[in-house]
Amino acid sequence: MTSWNPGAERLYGYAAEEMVGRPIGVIIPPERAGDEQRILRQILQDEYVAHYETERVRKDGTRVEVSLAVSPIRSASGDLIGLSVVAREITELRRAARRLAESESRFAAIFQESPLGIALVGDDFKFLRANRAFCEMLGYAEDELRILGFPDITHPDDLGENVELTEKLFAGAIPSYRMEKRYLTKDGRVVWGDLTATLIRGLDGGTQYGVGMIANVTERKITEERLRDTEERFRRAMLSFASVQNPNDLLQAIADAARELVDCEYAALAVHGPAGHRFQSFAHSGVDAATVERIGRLPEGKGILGAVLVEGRALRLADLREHPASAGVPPHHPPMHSFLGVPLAGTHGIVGDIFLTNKRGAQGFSAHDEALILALAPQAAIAIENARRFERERDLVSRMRRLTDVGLALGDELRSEAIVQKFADLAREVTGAQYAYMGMLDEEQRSLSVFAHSGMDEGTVRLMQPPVLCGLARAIAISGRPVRLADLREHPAAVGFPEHHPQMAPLLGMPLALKGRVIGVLLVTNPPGAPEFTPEDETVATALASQAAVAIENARTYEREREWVQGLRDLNQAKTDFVSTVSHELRTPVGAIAGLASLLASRRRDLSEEEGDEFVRRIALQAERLANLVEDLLDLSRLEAGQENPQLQAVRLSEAAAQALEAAPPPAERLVERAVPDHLVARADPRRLQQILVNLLTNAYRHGGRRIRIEGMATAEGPVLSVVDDGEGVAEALVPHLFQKFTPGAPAAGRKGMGLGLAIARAVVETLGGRIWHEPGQPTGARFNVLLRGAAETGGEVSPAARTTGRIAG
Amino acid sequence: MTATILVVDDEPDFLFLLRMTFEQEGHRVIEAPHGLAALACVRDSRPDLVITDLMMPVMSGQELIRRLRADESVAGIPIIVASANPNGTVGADALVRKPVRPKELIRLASALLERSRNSEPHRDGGD
Repeated sequence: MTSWNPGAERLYGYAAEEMVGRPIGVIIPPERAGDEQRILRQILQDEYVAHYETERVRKDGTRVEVSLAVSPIRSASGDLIGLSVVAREITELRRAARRLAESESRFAAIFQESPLGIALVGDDFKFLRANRAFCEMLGYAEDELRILGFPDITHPDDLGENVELTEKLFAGAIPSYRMEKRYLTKDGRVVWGDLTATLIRGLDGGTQYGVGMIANVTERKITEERLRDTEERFRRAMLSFASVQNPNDLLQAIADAARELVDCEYAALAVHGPAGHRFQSFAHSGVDAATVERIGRLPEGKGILGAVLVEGRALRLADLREHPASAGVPPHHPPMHSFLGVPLAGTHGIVGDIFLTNKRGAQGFSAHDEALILALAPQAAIAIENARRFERERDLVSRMRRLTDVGLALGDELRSEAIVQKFADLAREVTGAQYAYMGMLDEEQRSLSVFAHSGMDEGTVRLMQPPVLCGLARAIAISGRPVRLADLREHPAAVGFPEHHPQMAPLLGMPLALKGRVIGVLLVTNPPGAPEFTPEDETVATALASQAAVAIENARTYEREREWVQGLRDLNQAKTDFVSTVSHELRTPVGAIAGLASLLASRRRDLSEEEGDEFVRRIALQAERLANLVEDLLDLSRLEAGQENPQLQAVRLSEAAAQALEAAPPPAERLVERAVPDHLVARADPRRLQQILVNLLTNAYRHGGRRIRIEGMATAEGPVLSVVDDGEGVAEALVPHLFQKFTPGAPAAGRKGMGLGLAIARAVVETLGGRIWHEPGQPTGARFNVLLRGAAETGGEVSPAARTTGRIAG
Repeated sequence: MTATILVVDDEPDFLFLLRMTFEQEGHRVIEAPHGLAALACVRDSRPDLVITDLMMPVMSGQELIRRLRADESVAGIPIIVASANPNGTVGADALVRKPVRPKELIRLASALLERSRNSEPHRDGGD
């Protein structure tokens, strides 16, 4: 070594003074010992070694890769005297190259082994490369693909978009794109790929490649497709019954929809009854009419169906016959195996159940089927609830309309009894009840004045006692609130049914109120076992009750006014008649007295003594008659004013009859018989009793025939005295007025008379606590009966009837 | 001039009173207690004047008047109604309210008898 420059010092770590004079071998690794001879040979041959790559050893022993440029050093004479070696370190370059190689192989591996499909496409859309995943996805070998363009393996429906995007990519308009597209496999199947394409430029800057990364999303797509299909079927199923309003049609539509939704052979839909333990209605789908006919009755909610009903949750079975609750398949029913039952829970609880059997093309119903039906169930339940509500409301409207129509028609009716009956009938009609009863309270609101039954046969009504205000009716009248009961017999206010009364359970009770005052009660009932009345029934009944209250009160007011007016009119007429009668009756004796007295005065001297006595006798008689009349009028007035205090004592009636006959002896050609048993004793005022008998006798003398009888008999109520005649009897038109004061005898026949006799007799009988009444005589004539208060017949003191002056009444 | 007067009333004292009154005037008096008896008396005795009450048993005064007026042979006999309430009576020649004043009745009876006698040949009076 003759020269060692600073570059060599840096490269090898030796200083110049260390190396100059030392052999080159110091820096040559042992395995490369031949290098020197090889380079020398080449120099000798070619004069120059431009690039010789080898390894050298540094001072610190590390290796360094170098590229050597060697040129000969010759003397002036041209002799080779040395070599000039320029060493350039090449270690980093080597490493980079090695890394590149490694990277390339790694990339190739990734490309090849990636689970994603990767493909390189030239700007002619032909495949340049395709990895294994892509090849496997399409069923082609890479070599086969290289002769194809991507349009050849793209579904025609996606091709247009794919080409357009790729053209934009190559044109540099977009840096990348992504699309889901369908590929066609070698064997013609369709597979879905999620493609992401980017553009790569070559190192030369001109060549462009499209790189596509394709994920196989066929599975996902199939799932999505199935989901869409399910959604579509579900939507169709819901739509199929969404607009059905008729409840029966609705049940059928839901059963059909459920069957189609899960694709099974048979479907049924049951709606629960009000108590929730039975089926009220049942619709089925998939069983033909002839089979239905053969099966006969519809299920009621037992067996396996009952299990769903009772448990209230979904039940899914591969074979329904193996369930413990199963009662087997009903006779004539087609065989059933797989089963799915789902309760229909609506806004207001479970309204019914859906039952499905015999899933098609599978062992049984899947969890997916169950989920579908569970999703359908609330919709179906709400639809059923809505249909029911719609039905109820439509029914309510029609019932209200009926109520209005009939109510308007009743506006013309003014008799309260007829109105009560008609409203009772109407209540029964609009609530669909078997029985209705309406009772009106009297003024004191304690008992029933007018009442009407509807729906009960007349025989039963007659057998029953007239209803008194008690039990529930009373409770409603007092509370003034409506009552709706499933069974009225369990209500604390119930007092049980009267004899002959039919059994009843559901009840709707309404007060009939006017301005806050209860004026009556409406009861609507059904026999035991009938369903409870609904809130709609209550609404209708409430409307009816208020309408009835107004109508009945109007009629009652009208009746009261009419009665009042009639009473005033009668009173007025009676007074006019009285004045007329009294004036006649008073004028007759007054006229006679005046006439006789005047005649007597003017003719006194012409008259014999006997004739004069006759005048005086007649004047005296008329004067007495006048006095008696005035006395009677005053007597009646006193009696009516209640100022009479009878002196009650035991009176033997046979004696009273005898004394009355003495006081009012029969006129000529009249015969009076007495038939009053001695043991009859009444508690009476003897003077008053005689007045009664005298009046009746006088009456009989006036109007009766020849024979008159006084009879006495004992009755359960007390002793009865009767005066019986065989005359013409009382004209029928007169009978109702017989005991009224101021009634003149029989105006039609032209009879006169004050008519005070019987009126006084009645007034007196009443002060004695008895009763007087008329019966037609047998075969003719009249019978006047007087019921008196009885007195215990004792052996002791029985006063004889007091003697009074016999007076002949009017 | 003596006339035959039929008095119809169910009140014996009234009959007595009228009999006394008209006998004093020199007339003959026939009595009947009601309309039906009066009809028989009219046929038997052909009275010149009838004085009747209205309210009577068996046959009323109004019915008596109706029958008398309906019978051609007796329709011309003058009739006086003597009643407590004679208003509204149909077919009578005169109405007298009870109690009657004898003198007034005598004057009325005389006037009617006079008128009746004057129209005797025609036999159509009475209205």
